Amino acid sequence: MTDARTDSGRVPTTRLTTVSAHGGSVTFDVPAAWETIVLSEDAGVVAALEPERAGLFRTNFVLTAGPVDGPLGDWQRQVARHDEEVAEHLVLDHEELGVGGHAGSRRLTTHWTPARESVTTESWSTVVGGTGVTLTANVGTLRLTEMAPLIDAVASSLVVRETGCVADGVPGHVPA
Amino acid sequence: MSVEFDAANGTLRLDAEAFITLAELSSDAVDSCDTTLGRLVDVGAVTAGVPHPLLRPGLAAVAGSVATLQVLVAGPEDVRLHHGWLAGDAALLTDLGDGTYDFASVSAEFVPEAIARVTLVGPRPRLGSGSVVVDEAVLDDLASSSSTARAAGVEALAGLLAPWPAAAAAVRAGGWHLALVDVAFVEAGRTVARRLAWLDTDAGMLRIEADDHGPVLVPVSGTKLWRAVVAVLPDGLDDLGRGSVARSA
Repeated sequence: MTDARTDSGRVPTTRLTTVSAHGGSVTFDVPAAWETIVLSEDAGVVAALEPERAGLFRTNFVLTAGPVDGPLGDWQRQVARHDEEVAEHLVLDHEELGVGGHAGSRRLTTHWTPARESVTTESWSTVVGGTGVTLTANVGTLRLTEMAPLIDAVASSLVVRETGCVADGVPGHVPA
Repeated sequence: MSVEFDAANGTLRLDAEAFITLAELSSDAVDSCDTTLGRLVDVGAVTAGVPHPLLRPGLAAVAGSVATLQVLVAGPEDVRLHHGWLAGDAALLTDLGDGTYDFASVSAEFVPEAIARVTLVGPRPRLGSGSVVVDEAVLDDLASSSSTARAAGVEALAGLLAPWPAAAAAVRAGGWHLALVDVAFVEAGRTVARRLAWLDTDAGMLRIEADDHGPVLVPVSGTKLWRAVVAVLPDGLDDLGRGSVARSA
């Protein structure tokens, strides 16, 4: 019988703020106190990192948005193959579900970082108007119980607007 | 029974008797003429009366663990019982199903993944919502070392899975296994025992939860199961493991 705690329905107490990317067509919430950076304006990559933890792995969310060839399924198979080539990712779950208001998929994996830290990665992907959008959460595995409510909240906040995605070449940005 | 040791990476495969002898080396309870000790010496796992340096972190975890772990995985073919000892460096004794075990020292961070690997947590179809009460005796049969008892358990279980016909069919076809993860540790002066249990079928997974009426089967996703695997471990395990690295797997 099970008696472990798995209450993912908890509401995070952290104050959240909305971040936008890809010309404002993609928005999602992140903790207001976290560092938000635009990693690549051309590729529409925005990341939010939790504050420094004395050199330990920092939980982070990464949003990527860019043109893809083909439907969601083909794109996701390419992503899965890439993951297997880069590192030994153990795939724990995969399902098709609505992402940001569109048909999409969710994937859960665990792997080791080069610094030998165990990380759990959960990612939500969708393709809208030829633009592939992926929100990825990376968390130190042993902190998953603590961070799960936040991960769920950030994932459920993701919105992808079709009109913005159709327009290509719009740089990602973070609102002032 | 055999003992195999690779001094290049610390990989050790051994039977239960050899493992007990190895674990008792530090207690001076082992006779130097012991034939089992001789087998450990022959392969280089023990030299001059002490374990090989690559084995010491794992043996230290066994001797000084802050929590113990048992993972039972029962299926149509066999039942395997894996053991773990959690400390700054964790030790895992993985049941290979042929009377031998792999002994490995790993960082505490690796323990959830190790549990997922031996229990084969992974993507499965989703079962529709619902729940059914299952008799403890059925679960006992499924976990039994007797194949006859497991077969009886399968028949009873398949009948209980009527709300999920695909799962019932998968169980009857041999596409199932039962996983029981038990963790025990001392917290604030008292022993805490946690159990996480689930039934995995080719058609989907069901967690075994406690209810006023007894054990209840409830559909569960790989994501919720992974979170439960992490949650069943003691709090603060990341602090214990900080600074250590995976040594062998």
